[in-house]
Amino acid sequence: MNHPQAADTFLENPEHAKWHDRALWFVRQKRDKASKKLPEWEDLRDLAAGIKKHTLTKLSHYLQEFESKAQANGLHVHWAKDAEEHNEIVHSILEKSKVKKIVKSKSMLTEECHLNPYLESKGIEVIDTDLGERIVQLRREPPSHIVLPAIHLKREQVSEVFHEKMNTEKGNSQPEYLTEAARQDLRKDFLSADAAMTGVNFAIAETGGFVVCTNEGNADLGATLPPLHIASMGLEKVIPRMTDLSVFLRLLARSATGQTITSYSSHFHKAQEGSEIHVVIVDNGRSKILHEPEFIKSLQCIRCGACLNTCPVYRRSGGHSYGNVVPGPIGSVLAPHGSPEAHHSLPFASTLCGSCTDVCPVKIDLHTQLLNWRSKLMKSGYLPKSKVISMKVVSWTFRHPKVYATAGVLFRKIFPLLPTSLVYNRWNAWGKQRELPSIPKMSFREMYKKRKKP
Amino acid sequence: MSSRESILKALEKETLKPETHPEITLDAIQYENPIEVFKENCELAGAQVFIPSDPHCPKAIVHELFPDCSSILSYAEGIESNVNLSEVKSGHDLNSLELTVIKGELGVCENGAIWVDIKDLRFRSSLFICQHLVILLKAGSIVHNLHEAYEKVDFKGSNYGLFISGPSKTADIEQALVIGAHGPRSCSVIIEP
Repeated sequence: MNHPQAADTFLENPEHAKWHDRALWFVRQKRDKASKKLPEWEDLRDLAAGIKKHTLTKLSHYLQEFESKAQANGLHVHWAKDAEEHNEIVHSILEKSKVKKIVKSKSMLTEECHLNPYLESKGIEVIDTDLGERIVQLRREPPSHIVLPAIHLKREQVSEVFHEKMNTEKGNSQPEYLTEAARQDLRKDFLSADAAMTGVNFAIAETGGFVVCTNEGNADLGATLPPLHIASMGLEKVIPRMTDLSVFLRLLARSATGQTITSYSSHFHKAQEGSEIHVVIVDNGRSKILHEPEFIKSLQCIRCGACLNTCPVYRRSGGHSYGNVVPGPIGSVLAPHGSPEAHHSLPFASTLCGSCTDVCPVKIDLHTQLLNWRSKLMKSGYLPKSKVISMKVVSWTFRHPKVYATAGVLFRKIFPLLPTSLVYNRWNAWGKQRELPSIPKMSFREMYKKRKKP
Repeated sequence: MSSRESILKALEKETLKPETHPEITLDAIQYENPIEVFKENCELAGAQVFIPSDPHCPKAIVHELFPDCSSILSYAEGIESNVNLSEVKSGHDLNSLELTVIKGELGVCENGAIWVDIKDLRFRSSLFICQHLVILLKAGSIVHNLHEAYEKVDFKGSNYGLFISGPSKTADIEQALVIGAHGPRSCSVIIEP
């Protein structure tokens, strides 16, 4: 299913779609308020982009520095070239310790690698512990947002699935009640898990440690109870120095939810006594992007979700319509690298308004990349014939001013006479849910000619 | 070739134009009343803040906040534990822990976060498994912003340290803020003179 088709499904309930749009705009406004409290906000964005840009030019160097420092700290470091190898590595570590059950905090990378179904097929129980992730796990669906995994759901839907799976009161949909129920239920899992998995927000080359940020404390509670902690990181997550963190932690939560910082920003350097920490560094297509100059900046992403919250298309089509683990503008520039066949409609799921670029804390040129993808996908033949032909006609017309002027005159005369069925039909996607603008009496050219000269 | 080598080779395949590592020299925000703003930001993050004038007060505040508390684990001087750590074999045994009291190293004005790095911390989970958390912080350790904090924190020999800002919380159900997700349900900060 392509994006417009999937978005249609989301829009079948217009009330819900409206609510979704407003909920995310509210988060975007919180981000604005938080950013405006810092006069140096724009300098911070420049710095963050600069540090990431520098790091990308020396990734191999910094990853090796991180590896040797981490090993000196007693951490175990593994390298995975793709999702399959990542899953195998994780499984082999778990198998060695005879792990039957793991608790996992939010990690988009493990979603990208489809780790949960893989481990489940090997007989290992996986419990997602972030409340939003737990909700979508119980509903057997993917997260719809990288920071707010259950933002597509109303409280009644959460209440329903909790009643079914956790036996909470039927019809009680108070967020406090449901959160408490999840706390009680997941506490049992925290206590009975044999191992924990987390993602990595930042890995520090200088010190060989890594940072995990959460509000719920689920990553820490999970990682500090059992004797085994596996942290998976995309290879672009490394940063050179400890002090660089000050820049990124100031930007991350403010951009994501409008908080000044998350409740917990935990710096793991050594395992506690009797425990092991493993770090899996994953490529899975990232090194390929590094050598595509027009797309390289997408590797600067710190997964804050600001571009999702601001995107008029994301807000009105929902995360699931993207059919990709990471939805929204950043997802639309990342997904086609892996599989253009499956994801060629995503770069078109944008108005190119540029709002994503404006809010990005690390200054990724998102809307430019979306445009680059469009031309790349057209050249590779992924566009429907109807679109290719109409674009060619329009382009030819624009290059011939006389034809353009004549066509305009004819169009304004003929169009109002056309019957509705000829104007609003399946070929006019634009007119599906809205009226076409009324036809002006005169073109700009004609107005300009007739104007009173001063 | 191992995956490690092939990944590193793929990263070096073409030489990218070198970019310098920017120095963090920016005019970061400073506050006129750092303690006041710090308190405000702690409260925004869901914490409650106490500023007693008497240095002997923390103990009284803890007792007032948690009278008859049956299980206190304290890493802070002046507050006594009533949990015998020598009987605790793993963090799991602390599941009924009511209160953990710790010392903060440094407070950050701009976001109400407190750097915690306890050298004799035997069970890291004790910071999260407890129902309530109290953090004692010296007023003089409050800095304006996160850049100053990272300059000041001594990471050498740090095994596990973290910034804590308020209690555990979530807004995953319809963006409604709920305090007390998986970790402490409350976070009280006592600022000592």
